[in-house]
Amino acid sequence: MYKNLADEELVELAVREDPDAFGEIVRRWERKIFALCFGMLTREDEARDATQETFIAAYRNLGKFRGDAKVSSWLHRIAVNQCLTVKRRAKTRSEDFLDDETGETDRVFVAPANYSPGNEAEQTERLRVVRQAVGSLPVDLRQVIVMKEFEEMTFQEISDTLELPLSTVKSRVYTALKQLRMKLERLPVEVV
Amino acid sequence: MAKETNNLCAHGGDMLAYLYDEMATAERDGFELHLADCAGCIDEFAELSQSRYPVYEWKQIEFEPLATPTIVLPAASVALFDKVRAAFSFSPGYSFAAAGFAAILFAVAVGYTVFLQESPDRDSIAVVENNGPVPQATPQRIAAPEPVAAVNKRDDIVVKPKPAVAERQIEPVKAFERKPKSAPSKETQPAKRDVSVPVMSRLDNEEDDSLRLADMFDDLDTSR
Repeated sequence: MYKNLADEELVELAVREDPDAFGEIVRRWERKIFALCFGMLTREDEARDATQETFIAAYRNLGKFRGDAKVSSWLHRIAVNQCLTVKRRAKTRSEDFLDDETGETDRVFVAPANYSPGNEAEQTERLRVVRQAVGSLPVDLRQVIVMKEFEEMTFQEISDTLELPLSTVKSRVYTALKQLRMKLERLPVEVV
Repeated sequence: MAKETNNLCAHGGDMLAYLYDEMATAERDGFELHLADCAGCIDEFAELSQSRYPVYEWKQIEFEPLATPTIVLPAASVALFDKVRAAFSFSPGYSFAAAGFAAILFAVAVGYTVFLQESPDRDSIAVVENNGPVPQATPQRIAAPEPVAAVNKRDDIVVKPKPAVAERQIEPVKAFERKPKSAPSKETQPAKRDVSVPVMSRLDNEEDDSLRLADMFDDLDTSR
């Protein structure tokens, strides 16, 4: 029912008569907002909390949404503000400094709370799509993405290893991420 | 990078550094303040994050659980030459230390050799001790020399015996005393006197020669 509606129509519907329409917005943008929060916070537990806070704040401020911007931009702005709030709180809490020093919780990959076999199948398919998308990248772009994401090398380390200028390395990573986004949007995630 | 997105502001170049947390604290705080107010940078950052997270998820789910493979190298048969070469192969540090120690030993040996050569007393003493006692300048009693007559012929060399070196060394220096010489006679030829050279040390040879020459000239002068 809601799948064929645009984001702006869903928001208008949710404001006027059907709050459940906002659920479709959450389903469409939950993962992307989570990725944005993870990109800012680099910690999955904090990213999940920030994602939840983002949609709670968006739901409470549905009436303030003006149609002059896209829903995605509106949600992005709310998510960024939530992440900045989390970061400000983290600076004032002493226990967060201890966690940062040990770094033991930074690399823990927490399974989603709503884990189910259906979600597992969706995850498997999603991973297949990602593998295919990365494999279809040009060699020079795939190389820097693998070095950045799998080997966790810094831009300077990649520049020294490949004997390329630093600006060239950053440009290749940027281009690779852009092409990955286009490929991931084009490749359908088929869940059997 | 700036060409692909037209909605990026001047801070667009910091996007990747912020995304991968490779910014200094002060720079990160400044970028976050800008990010909160720049819609273009927010959307751009969101797109990059949404592209990056699936790759990160793929790595976490499929790569991280994999155990690191243990590399097992096959046992290779080492040739005899390789074994010998391995026995004499030293680390560069050890080689430098050995070369330095050898250089120090060589310098000590050269220095000791030079030191030995520059010690003549020891050598002379050693030589003298081997060859015999050194003549000492001790006063000795010597018989008074016989007067010497002038010589007409130049072939005859008149040698005036000199007192012993020891006496001259110990006794105060005296002016040379010329003894009166008898006038030469035409009838008689001066007899050749035996040249008796007093025993002297080597050091006075030159001095003694000059005096002999002086005496000879004096004798010639007086004879004219």
